[in-house]
Amino acid sequence: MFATARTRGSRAIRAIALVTATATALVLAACTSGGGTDATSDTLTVAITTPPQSLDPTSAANGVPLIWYMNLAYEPLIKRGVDGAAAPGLATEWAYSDDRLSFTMKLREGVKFSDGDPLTADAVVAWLKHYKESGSFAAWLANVTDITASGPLEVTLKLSTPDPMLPYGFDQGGNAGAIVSPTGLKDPTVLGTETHGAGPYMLDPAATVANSTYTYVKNPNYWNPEVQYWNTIVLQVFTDSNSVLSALRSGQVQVAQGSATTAGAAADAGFDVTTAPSGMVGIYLADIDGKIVPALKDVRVRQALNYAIDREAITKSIYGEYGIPTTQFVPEGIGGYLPALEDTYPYDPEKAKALLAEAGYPDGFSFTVAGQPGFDGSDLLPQAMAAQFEKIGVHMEVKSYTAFGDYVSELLGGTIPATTLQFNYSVQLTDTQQLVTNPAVYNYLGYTDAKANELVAAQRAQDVDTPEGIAAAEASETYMVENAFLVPVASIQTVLFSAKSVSNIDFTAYPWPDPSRWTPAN
Amino acid sequence: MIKNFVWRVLGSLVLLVVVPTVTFFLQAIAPVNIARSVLGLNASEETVAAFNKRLGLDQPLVVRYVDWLTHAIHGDLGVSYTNLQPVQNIIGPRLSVSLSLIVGALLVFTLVGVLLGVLSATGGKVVGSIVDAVSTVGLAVPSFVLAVLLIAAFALQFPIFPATGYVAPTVNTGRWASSLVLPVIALAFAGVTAVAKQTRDQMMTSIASPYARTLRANGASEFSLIYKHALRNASGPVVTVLGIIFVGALSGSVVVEGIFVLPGLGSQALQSALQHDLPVIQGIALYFTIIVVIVNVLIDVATTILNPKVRRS
Repeated sequence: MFATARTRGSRAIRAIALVTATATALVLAACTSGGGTDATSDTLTVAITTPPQSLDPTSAANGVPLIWYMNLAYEPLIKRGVDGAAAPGLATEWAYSDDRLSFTMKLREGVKFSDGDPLTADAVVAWLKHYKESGSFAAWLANVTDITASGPLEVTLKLSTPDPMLPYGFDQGGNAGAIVSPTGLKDPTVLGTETHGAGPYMLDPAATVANSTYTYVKNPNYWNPEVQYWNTIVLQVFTDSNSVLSALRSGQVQVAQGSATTAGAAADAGFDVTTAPSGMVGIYLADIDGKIVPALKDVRVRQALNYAIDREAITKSIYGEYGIPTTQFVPEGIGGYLPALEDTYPYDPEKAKALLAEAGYPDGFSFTVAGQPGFDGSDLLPQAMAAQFEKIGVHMEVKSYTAFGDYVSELLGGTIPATTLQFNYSVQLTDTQQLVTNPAVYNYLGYTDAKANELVAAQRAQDVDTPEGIAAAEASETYMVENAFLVPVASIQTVLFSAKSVSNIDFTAYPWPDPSRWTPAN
Repeated sequence: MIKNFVWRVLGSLVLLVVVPTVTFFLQAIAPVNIARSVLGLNASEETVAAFNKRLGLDQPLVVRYVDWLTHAIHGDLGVSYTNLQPVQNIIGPRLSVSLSLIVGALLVFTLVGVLLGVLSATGGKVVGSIVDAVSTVGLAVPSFVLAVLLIAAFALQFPIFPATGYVAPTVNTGRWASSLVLPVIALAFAGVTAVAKQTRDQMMTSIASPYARTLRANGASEFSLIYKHALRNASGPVVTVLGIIFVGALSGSVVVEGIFVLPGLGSQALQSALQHDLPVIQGIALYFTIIVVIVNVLIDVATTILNPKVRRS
């Protein structure tokens, strides 16, 4: 019996020793093959939280971070500086005619696309026509009636009505100006897996795994090699925010798209946290005609909803130092913002109740809000707002969605009177013409407000950054705030984390941050 | 026995048609406007119509199903709605990642689980209690928590393994193995404990049975008794459990791939489901079905070889 026990014991020990030896060998193998950092000094790896909607500029999305997939490979016609000033890209000069019904651009000489095609007026005309027909943001070109090559390197667009937004549609955030080469346009299906742009980098399909790793290498034909700071830029898709921090800390990524919730941890770990206003969050009231919820037709009810929200408290609890309470649609620094408008709706539940009673709803009312998914704090914001509406007797039911597509489908079903919303900042005119006019992208129930349409026409009569343009923007902003078309809550920020090895991360509300600008630190 | 085996294989083939069919119709009845979900709120009605026409989404459901099935039989799984890439091109590079992860986990929970189970059954009270304790922890700690702990310990505190990412074996075999160690442990841990428990219980029964006593009385060595006779008799139910755990690991891989940023089929399935990218989901469902069928057949074969009673029936 003793002998047996000893045998049994020694077998067990031998087995354990074998396992231990194997594990040790594995660990040693990992050590000698250098399991730690992957990055070489000439590669920039960026953590990105969303795979591209499409790599084809025709159907690509924009905003942060999705515009990054475009920025690297497609040179825009107009390339704004970090301060927002328009500067030459593929176009060296551009101007509206005196009657503002035509827009002419001169193209840069001697430019070649990454696939070797030369940049010509014909190539630009073909792309713009294609984009007007099927682009995601074809609305940029809605007032364009004709696009022609007025010279070998000159393109002219005819307009049916003045529209100052073309230089925005054609900049690095607009996608309409992300010119695709004739070769790429010949068979647009290749644009889902290859890039055919004139940008500083081009996609390396062999080193790319769809929805996971997007590897961009230098475009050998780029017109301005001085600003090709990296040999390779990798956009690595992360779905888990903890993994982003782990990858940063272990040196696998150098820059990451962060969030307000993880910014503290990143700063504590010694990374630079760079921020700028990214957009307004709040509730968009689509049922201004009161078709689904009659109460929303009354401006006093909409104002009551605005008085009911304690913006200070909600912003602080969800976004901390990365949000600013606001009642407006553009942030300070963008034409149209008026400091005085911030005092329009101080937190005042009593006043809200009085307004509701005046409008004939002393006991409140109920409505449903669709929760737009995917923005920072998108899960918490509607809950916090619902709790505060409850205090004035208004019951808001929140519907949530895991996928953006489901959310869009529901809105278009026509039964939802309101939605939470993150609206990316560009210029004030974008807010007016995408939110309150008819037609407008977000006006999914199709209400018509005659005054809003008048104001937008006035804004379109001149360039947005002229004194007249800014005055017109202020008029629209004031009208939208006072008539409570929306219930804005906060101006939230884009947050980027970066290692000390990368410089020039700084950015402003618009244009959005652009990885091709980031430089090695030394 | 061969007749049984042939029937099993034929049954599996039916499964290969049934599963993708069910996924097709379950996906299709979801009230979702696929074109809008891909193109966004900004797209014009004309763009949406062109999109639907190009991908055949304007056709009735049954026509789309028959179309998919006919092409699938000829090896063409269609193109992704989101990036228009052929589905095979999307799945191909991801299959090797998933197989590395899942087969790695299978090896780990089989070898370590069986070893722990045997030790626990034969190693006396102390070893038994330790294995029991570890098993309980293993069953209680979810893989995503374990994954985060493993990264914190072995990638950040002691930078032995990479925190995230996958390196193809063709690029560097050492780094490939290294990139798999933590994900495989995270995925296999719960399986190890389940296999260990099962092995232990079966072993206890086998060792206590009359034939074991007879063998001992005839002077068989304890090693031969445990590893040659008892383990073999205990192995039937253990192998069956392996099959069940393996299928569970397929779904567990979705989470583990997300945390370790491995470009495998699980993370793609999740992404495609969110985008309603039906052809890709169909393709992945088909591949997962094939994997499950192959594993089930292998388990049937293993059970037959291990158990003479099954072999003769």
